[in-house]
Amino acid sequence: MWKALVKKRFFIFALIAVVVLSIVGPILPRYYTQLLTLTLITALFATSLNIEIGYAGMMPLGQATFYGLGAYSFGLLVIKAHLPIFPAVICGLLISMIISVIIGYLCIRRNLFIFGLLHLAFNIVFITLVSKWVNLTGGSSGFTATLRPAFLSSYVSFYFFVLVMVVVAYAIIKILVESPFGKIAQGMRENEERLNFLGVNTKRFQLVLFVASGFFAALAGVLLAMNNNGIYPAYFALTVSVQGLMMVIIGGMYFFIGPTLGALLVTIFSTEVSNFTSYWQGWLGVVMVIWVTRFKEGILFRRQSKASKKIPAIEMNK
Amino acid sequence: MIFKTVDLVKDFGCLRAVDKVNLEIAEGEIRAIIGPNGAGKTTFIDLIAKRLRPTSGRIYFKDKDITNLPPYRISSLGIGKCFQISKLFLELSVFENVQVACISKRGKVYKMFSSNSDVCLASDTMKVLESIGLSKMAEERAASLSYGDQRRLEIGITLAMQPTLLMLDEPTAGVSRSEGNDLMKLVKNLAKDLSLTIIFIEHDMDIVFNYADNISVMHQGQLVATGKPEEIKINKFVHKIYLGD
Amino acid sequence: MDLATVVRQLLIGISSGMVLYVVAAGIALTLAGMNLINFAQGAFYILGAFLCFQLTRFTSFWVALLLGPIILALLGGLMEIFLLRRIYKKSFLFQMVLTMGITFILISVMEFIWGRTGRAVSIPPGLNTFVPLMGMDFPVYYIFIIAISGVFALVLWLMFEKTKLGMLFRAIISDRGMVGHLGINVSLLCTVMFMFSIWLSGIAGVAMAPIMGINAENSMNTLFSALIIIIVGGLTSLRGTFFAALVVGVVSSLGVMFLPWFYTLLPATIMVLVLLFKPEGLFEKRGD
Repeated sequence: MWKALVKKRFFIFALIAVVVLSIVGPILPRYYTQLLTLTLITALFATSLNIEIGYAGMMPLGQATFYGLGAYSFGLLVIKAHLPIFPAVICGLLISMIISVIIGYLCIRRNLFIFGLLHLAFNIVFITLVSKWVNLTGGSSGFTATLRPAFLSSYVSFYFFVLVMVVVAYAIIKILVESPFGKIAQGMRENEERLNFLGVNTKRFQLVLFVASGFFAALAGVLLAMNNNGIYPAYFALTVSVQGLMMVIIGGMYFFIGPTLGALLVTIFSTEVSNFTSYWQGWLGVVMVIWVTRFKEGILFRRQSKASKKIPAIEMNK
Repeated sequence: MIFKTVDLVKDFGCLRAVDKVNLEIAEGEIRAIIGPNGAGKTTFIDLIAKRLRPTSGRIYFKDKDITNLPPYRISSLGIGKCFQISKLFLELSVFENVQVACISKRGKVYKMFSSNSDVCLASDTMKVLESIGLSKMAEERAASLSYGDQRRLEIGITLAMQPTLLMLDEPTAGVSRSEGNDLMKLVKNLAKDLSLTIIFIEHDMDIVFNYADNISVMHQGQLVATGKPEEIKINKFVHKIYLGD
Repeated sequence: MDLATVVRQLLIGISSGMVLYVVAAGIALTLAGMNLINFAQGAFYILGAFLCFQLTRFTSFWVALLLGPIILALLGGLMEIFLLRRIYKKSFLFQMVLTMGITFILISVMEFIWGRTGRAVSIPPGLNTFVPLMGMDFPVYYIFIIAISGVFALVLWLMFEKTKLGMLFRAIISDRGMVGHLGINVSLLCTVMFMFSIWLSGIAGVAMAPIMGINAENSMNTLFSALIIIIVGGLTSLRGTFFAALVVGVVSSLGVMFLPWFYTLLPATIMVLVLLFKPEGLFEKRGD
């Protein structure tokens, strides 16, 4: 499985990126380091989305559900159940996974359209649930609490923590998409019916993919909660789901690094613009509209498909 | 008998598309199903390939009742289907198209932590590509293939599942006469090499009479005649169905 | 709680349901006819309410009811021509991103022009009275809303079933390509269809303006409610949407009384249940 990571171009690129980020992070002014931290978390969220969209052709319209689920499961375990931080992370992720199995099972139905709507519907349910269930979730104001262990309280150490987590997560996702599992996922995207006739139980496959995607979104949620030292209903907002979709589209859904690029652009854009005006969401809307109508593909678009990969050296009897 | 249907019926509302069809196919046979348009041939093959659910009746493969199995179960039993309109993984390469099938055949669908460039997998895939004559185009995008080559790829993907029974829905539709012949020659050779049983629907009578061992004729949802090509050629009822009086 | 209070809540529920029906019908229309799901419908509705506020500053409510939706429809037409046409062939994903982008823009524009605190419009004189029923006073305006929405439902139905334009719409819904081949300018008709659906939102917005706190933030809530309604009603059925709107409106308003903790969840829960067990909608026959 390490072959996926050690692919020359990818490995070098990744190595450079990690080194650059490690050096740059601590020396930047605080504001920028924190921005970078947030960007990394958002990038993980967007990449989790792309597991479903770019590789499997599914349409998860409400991914904020899992973002929020991760944050809230973790946060509530710390705040209400008084668990120590890291056990709470693990249990929180487990809880999120269990819930995502249930949601996934219910969402993966007859067709793509219904899946998208159901996904959205669950997002709406959770938004309402979290805002109204004041006793459990703190309602519209959420909870503010220290969600980081003591050694991560400085912004630099937290930055490195997030960097490590995101790099590890990316490595796992990369291995996943380069595996036979990932290849079947691409088949799903191209022709689900054919895959069914090739002996693959596509509904079950989609569920596994769904849970994997939800897991990484939940992980991003945990990191977000730590970042903000609080859990708030805004994590579940529909606008978060939409922004995630936007990142995938802008960055390019057919490439591994696409959503990360999209996340970078969107996060920087929103933060910078919100410094100028409180109507930043409107400007984001402008970007969304222009992008979708002008550039059909993302920044990284397929000139020709990724199909032109090297086939391993096998004696081809000419 | 490797394959058998018993009183197979498919109703679409009040329209009976397949009417109590009893079909039996022997192992290693090449059976053509013909009939004028609207005879129910495609519906019938969709039924036996589990794309549709029968209204009533049973389907048996190797004495096992497969009537109620979902599509993804029948390929592991050894039934492969080629569609009338090619269902390929268009944006993937020719190699990847077959690779997907090999992955499934080898049971590696959920292998998340293995590498894709597994040598064993690649050799399986290349073998299939060679057998259908597409090894030179392995890295081409499936969508950029000519129609005839796409049909070959379609067959290749199905073959990668190592079926014992292969169903083809109008394999030569839309290709030139010579390409069609090449295709069918390929199919017939593969059938011999791999000991396949083949059921195919065809409209091109030359192809049918040249390549089929036996022919079944359908008309208005019913199976009206079965026999060797010579017998069918002189069958009066078949003449009537196709040519009128 | 006595019967009169319950009936009063019922009335409020029916009226809010009816208004939502008009908005939802707009979404259903474009969904059926153009395969487009317009997430911006909620924002247009609120914009309609703001337009009402602005127009009633210097003219009467009734003029606002006439002009407002027309202005909105024109805006919608521009949107359709310049933006939506480019993504018709694209997937659902792109549609959502585009129409949500438009929603964001509209919300920001509304906040910019009218500020973030809620605005209010006074109920037009003549309707600002109460009707005594069952020993309680019912606000006439709610009855007006029910009436006007009912009129629109009827007009919609009539238009679809009885007029030539309606027939063309229905034809496009069932087979767009064929209609194009018959020499009919399908793109133009689609623009008209879209403008009409926005116009509907405008009517709903203006009508509701006097009894709501007009706030740009409500765009999303309206969108949610409308989505819930069309999903429950069967995505493209006008009749199903109508009944679904009534159900949702009544359930919500009665829910406020009986299950105050839970009532906002009710519509969403109904939606999920419907999607799970009867995805073609509560009021539709099962297709194949």
